[in-house]
Amino acid sequence: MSSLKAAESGFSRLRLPVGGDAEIELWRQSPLKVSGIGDMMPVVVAGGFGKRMNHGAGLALYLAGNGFDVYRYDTLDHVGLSSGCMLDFTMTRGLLSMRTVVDWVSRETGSKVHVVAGSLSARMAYRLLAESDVVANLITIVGVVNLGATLARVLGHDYAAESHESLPEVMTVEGHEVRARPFWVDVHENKWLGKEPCRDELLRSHQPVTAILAKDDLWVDQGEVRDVLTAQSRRQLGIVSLGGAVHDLGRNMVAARNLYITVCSAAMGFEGRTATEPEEPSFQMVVAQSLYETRMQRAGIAGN
Amino acid sequence: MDKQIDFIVNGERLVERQVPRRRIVCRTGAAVELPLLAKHHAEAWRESRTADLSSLRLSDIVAFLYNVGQNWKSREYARRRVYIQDLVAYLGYSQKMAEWEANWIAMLLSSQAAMYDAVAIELGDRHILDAWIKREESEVRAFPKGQTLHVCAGNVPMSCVVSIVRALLTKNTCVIKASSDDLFTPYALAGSLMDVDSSSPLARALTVVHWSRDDDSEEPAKWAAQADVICAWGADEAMTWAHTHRQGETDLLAFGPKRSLALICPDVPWDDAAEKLAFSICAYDQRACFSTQQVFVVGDSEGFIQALGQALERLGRFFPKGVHRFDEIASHAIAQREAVFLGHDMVSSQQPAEWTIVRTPAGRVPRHPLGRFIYVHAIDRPQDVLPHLNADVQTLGVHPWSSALSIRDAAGHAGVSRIVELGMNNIFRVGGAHDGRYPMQRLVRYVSNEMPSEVYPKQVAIEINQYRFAEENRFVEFIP
Amino acid sequence: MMNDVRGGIIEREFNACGALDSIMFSETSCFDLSGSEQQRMRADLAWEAFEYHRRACGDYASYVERLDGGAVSEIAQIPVYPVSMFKMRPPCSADEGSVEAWYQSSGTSGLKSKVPRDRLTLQRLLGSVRTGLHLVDNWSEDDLAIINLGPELSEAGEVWFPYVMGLVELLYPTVSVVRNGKLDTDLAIRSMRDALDHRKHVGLVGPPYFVQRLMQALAQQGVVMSAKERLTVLTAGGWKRHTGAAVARHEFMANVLACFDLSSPAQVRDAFNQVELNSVIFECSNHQKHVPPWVYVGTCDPYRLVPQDAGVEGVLFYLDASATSYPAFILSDDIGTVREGRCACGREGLRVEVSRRLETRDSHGCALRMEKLYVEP
Repeated sequence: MSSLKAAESGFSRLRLPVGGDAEIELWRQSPLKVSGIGDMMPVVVAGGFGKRMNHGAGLALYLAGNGFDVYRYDTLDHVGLSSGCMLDFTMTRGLLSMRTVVDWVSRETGSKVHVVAGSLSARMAYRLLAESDVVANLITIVGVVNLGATLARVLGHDYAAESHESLPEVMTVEGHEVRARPFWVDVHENKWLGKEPCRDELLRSHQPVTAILAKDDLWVDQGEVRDVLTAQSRRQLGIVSLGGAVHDLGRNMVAARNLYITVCSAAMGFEGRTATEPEEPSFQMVVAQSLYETRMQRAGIAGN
Repeated sequence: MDKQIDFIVNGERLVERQVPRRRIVCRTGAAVELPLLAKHHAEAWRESRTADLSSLRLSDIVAFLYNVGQNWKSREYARRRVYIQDLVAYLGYSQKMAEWEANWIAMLLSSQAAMYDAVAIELGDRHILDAWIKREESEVRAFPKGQTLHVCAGNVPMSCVVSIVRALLTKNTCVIKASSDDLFTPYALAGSLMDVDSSSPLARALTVVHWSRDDDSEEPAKWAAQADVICAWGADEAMTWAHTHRQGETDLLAFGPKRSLALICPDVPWDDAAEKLAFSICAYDQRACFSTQQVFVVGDSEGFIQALGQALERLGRFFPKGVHRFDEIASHAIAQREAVFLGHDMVSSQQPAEWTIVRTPAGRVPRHPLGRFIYVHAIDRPQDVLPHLNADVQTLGVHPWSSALSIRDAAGHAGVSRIVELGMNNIFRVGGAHDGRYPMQRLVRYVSNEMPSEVYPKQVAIEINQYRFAEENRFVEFIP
Repeated sequence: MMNDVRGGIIEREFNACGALDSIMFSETSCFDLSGSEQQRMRADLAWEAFEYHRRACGDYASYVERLDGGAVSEIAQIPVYPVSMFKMRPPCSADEGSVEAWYQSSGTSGLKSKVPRDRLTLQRLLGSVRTGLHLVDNWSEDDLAIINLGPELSEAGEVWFPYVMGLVELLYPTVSVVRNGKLDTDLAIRSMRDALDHRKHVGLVGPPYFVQRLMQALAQQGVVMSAKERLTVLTAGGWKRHTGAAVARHEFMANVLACFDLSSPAQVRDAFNQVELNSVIFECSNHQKHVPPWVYVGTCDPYRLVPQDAGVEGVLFYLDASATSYPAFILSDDIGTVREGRCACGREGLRVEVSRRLETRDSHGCALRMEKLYVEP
């Protein structure tokens, strides 16, 4: 039986200052094996809304197990171990967190980076793709392209159409409370709403993208995704559609495993390792790692 | 309506209708009610204790028991008839099996010669309970230890009778804790002594009570505390109880769980062997310690299995299987499925759960469901049975009997208690030991009246005078 | 997997999970499906699993052939084999390399069952726990804290029951209070107090004997814990070898309600599982154990082990389609009853009541210790 030990060796925590007193908590999982083809680009993983870094333990382990150096972070003003709280969450602060981490990792490693982003973070990543020259490619997981439409489905109400004064003090998104007015001000002022800004951003970028979709995703319109992603015809584009999967892929352990394999395949493909099937860590290792990180996350939580 | 049973205290029935009673549902679903063991029972027992068997001679005891046995022998004896009815109605015995058991009780009680022989063999001399017997440089007499407690098992009614008779022959008084699985035998036996002469010390030496295995009151422990010897029969639970509750000086005669095997050697008529084996399987529906659970056949086992199946089928017609509980029936069926899964050959009765024979590689036995279920193992030589023997094996039945001679030393070393002719498992021959000892020895105290100094020891032809030896410093001269 | 190249775009489509996993990991509770829907799912999944294991497990295939040549016309007739086989010749449908571990029973009778589990089988076990908890409540990770009256996962090793209990920490923040095999009641009490102070709800999970020991410790220390509606006590594992301390279910519940000052009997639940079964079966608020739609439970008669109608007490058997590394078509050592139709909790479907363990020859006059009898092949 494989050991129930976490991959504690090669695991490290860092705090990135972000101006003022704010800090981003960053976790690094070094490669668990040598890739065999020399240094590969590091991977930055951005979790979806409401997710903490430990929710990405499995994915990090799969990537590290296939030779990647993996960095994860908790967004500012979000649940998790970075500064700020969920009440103050905005898309722009999320993008700032992502850009800070990506730039830091690129500087530290002297390399461009793979970015893996889920759900709402994917929407931020599409913008970062247009602005950054250190993002080599992007893998999105149930990535949002039309923020307004998705949030309307999630919340059951189209707050985008509301006037500032009629917005509630707080809106509850997937069980988390977010101050509505600052959020929507940011959405409008910084052009996060709708699919057109997303398409425009993707037109300005050319890096390869692999979009992983959940076929039964009620929050992300698959047609809109294709529409937005195919706007830039000079891009190497992969679309993987997972049957039997819903938006919250992490909830379904079986689907999640296939997701991790797919992400690894895509990242390895970007490294030219198309002939190799990704290796999988054992279930016990995934459990051990998840527990290890979950305990760490929970120990670090203070009302977050 | 539930059958009402009363405790017997010092040979008298204690009729109590106003006390809390326990209801026990027996194997057939019919129920019995009897008193809940309480403080006043022990008090009543202490107050009315008069029996003192030490003044009786062995011949008085044997003669009395013989009279009891003669009643049991009579088919018209009311108590025998009720006993048989109870075994059928409550324990689910077939009529034949119940009569068989009553006959065995009669046989045991009437076998005067066997009783004298048992005393002679187990204690050394049949007069030793009544007189001082010369033994080399001493005269020895066996005295009763005093008070015995018998924790009876319910799988073999006769075992309760054997235990009590041993105690009475050695002049001990008896408290008998009836098994929840057989509430009838000790009461019937005690009643039959009262029928002969209720004022007899032997009848008054018997007290029959009951408590359940989950009785956590202090009452059962009090009865154990009174005993000089505890004779415990049954499963691990009974043994543990007895070990836990005996006081410092109390002796424990434990007859714990055992299993039994059979060995069949070649060149014997299969039919004969099959009949004998079938009997040892079917008696007590295999619940006895001496019931054969596995048989090792030297040579071709297939032909033997055919013969055994026929023998079991025939025996089942005139010695039908008793009532079995849901769980026992299910265990039988599950064991059959185990055999199918493991790919073992299996032969079974047309009627479900009557009997089953499974042929498996030697030694590989899943949980044994009993209830006329036999595992057959083919081996090459008689000696191949030896690795499968250990101290858990009480009886090894062999056929032919002569095949015991080549393996009995090794079997004894391995821990087997007795080696018998196949089919004789339930008959404990005079002179044989029981689970490795002579039980009566543990029911007596040997007292020695040693010879005076004027009687010379062997190898020392001089009267012993230690004062003079010390004065003359001559000790060393007398060391052989 | 489909590859579809449209003008430079590479598209692939494949099933990330099967029908069973979609049901199991769905956000909506499978127990809210209608009885007929559950029945249809149950049948489909059972047939699929039967065909799969017949192909993948030689021992099982041979067994099916020996039993009437494998003629099966309804799922209740799918051949089941005794759980004792896991002590003797554990069947396996997976190749050795994909078996994560051989999980063992606690082994109260000496010999232990050993059950091979691969990744998917283990994932589905955890899925059954998550699904089953829907019958209790719909807590998020931040809502609930668990006090596990068992060891944490690393100490549980391959012993099944503590392993399953330890896995719950993946779902909710958990403090495990058995350390080096000993129940630390002081730690349990401190952790419960802390959890009640900081979390919306607390789950006390463990064998009834340990819950009882905890209650005794509270009484001895004179500690009053008034949890009202904020505590759920979930027992599992039965009394095992502590049968001497066992109390009747209603008495146990009354003690728990009183000790923790709970608001409702619905806050005391039980869950059932055994190492040979890959799904945990939870109780609803009406204290009925609802069987998930990937498991079929039936009873059979003691003579020929023929399946019986619902409502008739018998030997329980299970067809658990969630296991892929071994055929979880088991004939248990338990006696019970299966019920259909609508439960008082409002849900439809199959429910199981486990009444008692089958009494083996240990209750006979001359019982035998299994470990001394059994000789390894």
